[in-house]
Amino acid sequence: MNAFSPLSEEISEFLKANGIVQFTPIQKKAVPLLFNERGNTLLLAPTGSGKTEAALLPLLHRLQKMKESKELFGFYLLYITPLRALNRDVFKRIEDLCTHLGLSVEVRHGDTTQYARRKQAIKPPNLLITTPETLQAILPGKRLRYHLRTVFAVIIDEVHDLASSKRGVQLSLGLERLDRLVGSSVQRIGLSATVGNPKEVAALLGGEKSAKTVWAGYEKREMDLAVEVPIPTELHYDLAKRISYPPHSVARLDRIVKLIDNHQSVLVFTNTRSFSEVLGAKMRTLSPPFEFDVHHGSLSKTARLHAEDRFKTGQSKAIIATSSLELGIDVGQADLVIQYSSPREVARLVQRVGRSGHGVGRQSKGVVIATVNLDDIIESGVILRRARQNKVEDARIPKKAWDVLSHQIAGVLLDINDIERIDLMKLIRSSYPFAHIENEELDSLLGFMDERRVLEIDGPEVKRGAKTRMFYYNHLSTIPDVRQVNAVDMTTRTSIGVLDEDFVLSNVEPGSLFVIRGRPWSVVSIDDESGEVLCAPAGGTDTNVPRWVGEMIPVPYEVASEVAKVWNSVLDKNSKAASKWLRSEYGISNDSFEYVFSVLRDSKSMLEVLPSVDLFVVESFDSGLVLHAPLGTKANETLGIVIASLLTTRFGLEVAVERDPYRILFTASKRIDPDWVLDILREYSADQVSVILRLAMKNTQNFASRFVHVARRMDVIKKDAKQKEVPVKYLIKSLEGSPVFEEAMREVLDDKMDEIRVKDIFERYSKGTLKVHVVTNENPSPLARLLIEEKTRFEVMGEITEEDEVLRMMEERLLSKKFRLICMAENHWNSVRTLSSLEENIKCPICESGMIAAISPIVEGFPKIISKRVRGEKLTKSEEKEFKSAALSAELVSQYGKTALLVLAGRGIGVTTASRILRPGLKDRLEILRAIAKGELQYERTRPYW
Amino acid sequence: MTNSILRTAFENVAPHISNLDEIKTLIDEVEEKADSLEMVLRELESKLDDAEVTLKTDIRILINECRHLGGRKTLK
Repeated sequence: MNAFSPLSEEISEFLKANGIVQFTPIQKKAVPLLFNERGNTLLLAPTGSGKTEAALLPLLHRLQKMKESKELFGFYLLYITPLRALNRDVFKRIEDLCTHLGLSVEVRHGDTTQYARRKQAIKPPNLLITTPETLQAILPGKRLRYHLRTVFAVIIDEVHDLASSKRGVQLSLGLERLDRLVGSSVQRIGLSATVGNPKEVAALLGGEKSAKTVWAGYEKREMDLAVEVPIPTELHYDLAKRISYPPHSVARLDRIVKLIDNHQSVLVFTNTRSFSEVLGAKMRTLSPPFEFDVHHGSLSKTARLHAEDRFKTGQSKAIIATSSLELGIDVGQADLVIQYSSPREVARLVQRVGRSGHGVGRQSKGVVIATVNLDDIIESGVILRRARQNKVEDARIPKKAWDVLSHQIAGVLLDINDIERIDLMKLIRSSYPFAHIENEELDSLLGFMDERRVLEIDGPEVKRGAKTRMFYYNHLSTIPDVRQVNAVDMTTRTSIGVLDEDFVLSNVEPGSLFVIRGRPWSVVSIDDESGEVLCAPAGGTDTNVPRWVGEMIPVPYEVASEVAKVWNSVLDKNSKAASKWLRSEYGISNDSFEYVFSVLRDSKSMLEVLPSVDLFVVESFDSGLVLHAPLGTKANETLGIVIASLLTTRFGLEVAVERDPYRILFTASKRIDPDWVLDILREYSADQVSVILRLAMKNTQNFASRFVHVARRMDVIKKDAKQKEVPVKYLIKSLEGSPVFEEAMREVLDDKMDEIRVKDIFERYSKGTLKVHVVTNENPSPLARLLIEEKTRFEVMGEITEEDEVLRMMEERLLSKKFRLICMAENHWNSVRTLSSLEENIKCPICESGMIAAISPIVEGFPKIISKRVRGEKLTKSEEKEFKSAALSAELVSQYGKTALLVLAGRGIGVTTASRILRPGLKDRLEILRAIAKGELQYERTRPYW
Repeated sequence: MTNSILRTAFENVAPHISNLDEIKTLIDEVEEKADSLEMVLRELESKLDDAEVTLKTDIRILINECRHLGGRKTLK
């Protein structure tokens, strides 16, 4: 019997010719099923196990048979992926097979040329590979709409990725529209490697009919995972100085280089784009014995393709990437995946590590390089354990997203001009996210759209309006278009990260404090033209609480609560057993045990108990209060907002809140009594909490920026309107209760908050099933310090905790500055020198005079001014000014030597400022640098007024 | 019968046609000449070669719809 039965001889031949001898587990199950049944199906199998072929082979077989009986004209199969890059990949994978079978296949997405598009309208490919947005674009298209009528099956790749965003919601309604166009149910096949809630995703995929779920191949796919915590050695400290990088980071970098060197091909994942760049740049300074590239979403398509190709062909050995390489882009055979710092979610780790050993029968291998931070280490371990058990997070499907629905109603009206309201409701309800939409809700939305002339309500009928077409085509994508601006550290002149433009516009002004990459910064100035935000490192966090934290991937409740369990278990065991247990259960290397154990032991001795989900700890100290609650990012964000707003309204305190997945920090101008927090937990009901949360949310920046995005999508704000010119507060107030307002609130509560969990906290505390232990300390416990300082976590600047490290980097910049040195005594020496090449005492090499003027290297005419002066000629005003300034610099150089030049090298520091900074007692290097930093800061602050 | 297939096909595909006037004229022309579905299709196909690309697609769409309605299995 044919190994590929029941597929056609041509398909079998092709597979054999390509070295494929048997089906993979998912193919074994899916091929016969899809061959015989036309129902919706969700295929779940690990990355690289042949899902694409499992779905496509039976469908291509069917298409091949159709071709034998009639000439094909139209699209018959749609293959939808979330990324253009994936489209290209799938195309390459199936092109040959399709050609072999005499079937045509093409890609269509945003990058497709007009010429190719026209060609597709004239001669539609049998199989079209596309994105959800392009499907939206072609659904109402005159020609393409005709070609779509022949579609009999749609494959949706990486369905979990679409499911957790509005893109999936849009697609689900798009598929309903496609069914309507075709006149019968088009078979829907979803593919995914990682999904925690297959039932719900199947419902999203299949709509009313749902979809059959087929699992395969997980049992055979074991992952070799480990958490390593590199500790710096003497060698690393030396190297750190050489490459201007903190020793701990150097230790990690060194480990990564060694791991890459010991493997064939390695993918290194970071959590942010900018850090992938930093890591790449630092790795280059080490001149490793291999080629590597950086790959992230902000790079051009050409650069990304180049990196992928170099990796695939073996020219490079490693790629440092962000989530841009997470989805199924086939980069060939990686034999190791390195994750830098905790991946924060199980799905992320599984997806990323799944990129190694890609292919059936190969083991995936992954190493998490954790920072020396308790949260990072244990969290990585817990995620590792859950990944081994395939306990990935649920895809959170947005329900009743009014912006998506309004767009899709416009789409329906473009499809068919008008529709009875009752039929429209039926179509909408057949899509899972809108299955429970109420009549009043739809009426409210239709009324809103009618007012804006996006449609017309005519009795029981809904009709196309004057603006329907423009509205639809202007908002094809549900992906928010967030512009970002650079935040620059003015001390080192390096980028510290990017900030969302809307955050900068409404929240940032000179003097604002915020945290980016785990370090507090104060804003010095904002460049009007480039929008660049110039920042300086802020002082100790216990006095200045940052008002904002850069958004990080949220840590789910399941992970956070298990982390707390691990803390408690470590101390319940003797240290040897605990170390062994952490290694065997959580893959955490022994090197970090001493650190982990000491943080937990010291914390317990200060807190008396270690927190858990059933036992919170309120820790009060001089400068604030920490509520230890290991509930995950979203729940803590919610709990923090609710408690802070109640502290404000009840006790009249202006409270600042800071949170991480394990604890919440409250600070105020006066002491916060721990009993107030207990009172709040006791006295408010779960329902009241909901109301308070909404009231508080309404005034947050988060809500305002969501509101702007939703308003843009619903055509309340023009798409290209500059955010500065949008009266956001006024709009929010006037649109309260409208579908725009409701959608923005739903979005922010769904994406950022965990309302249900927090309501449960209040209920459990009232019932007594949740206990809260109160403790007062002089100084914060080590666990609290993880949040207060939050310096060791998160990469880059995160670990440049020591001030001298920052100053040392500044010193390097100053020492690279060039000066033109001129002997004032005899005017016979004139030389441009780099500061670092000079001796401490600066003297004229000819006459040994110490009166050496230091001026800009580009000013060449100064000796002429000296000559004029020596000849007793009268100087012009500007010459006089130049001479005086040079003379003052010469005085400073004669008195303070190289130090004077160091100060003069500071940005914006002239001779007058330098003469104020320099004083006889100023000898200490750090003190000098600190003074220069202060001078630079002063200059940046006052620059706009100059 | 044949003519009604051609007319029905045209009605079905009219929203997808770019060159409506040309196609209408073409239909009148074909209707006069052809008395079987096979002839209709042959006539339409003969117009393909000289047609400008968008008109070519219109004709292809019309041919496809006629085939669909006529339940014809193969043409060539």
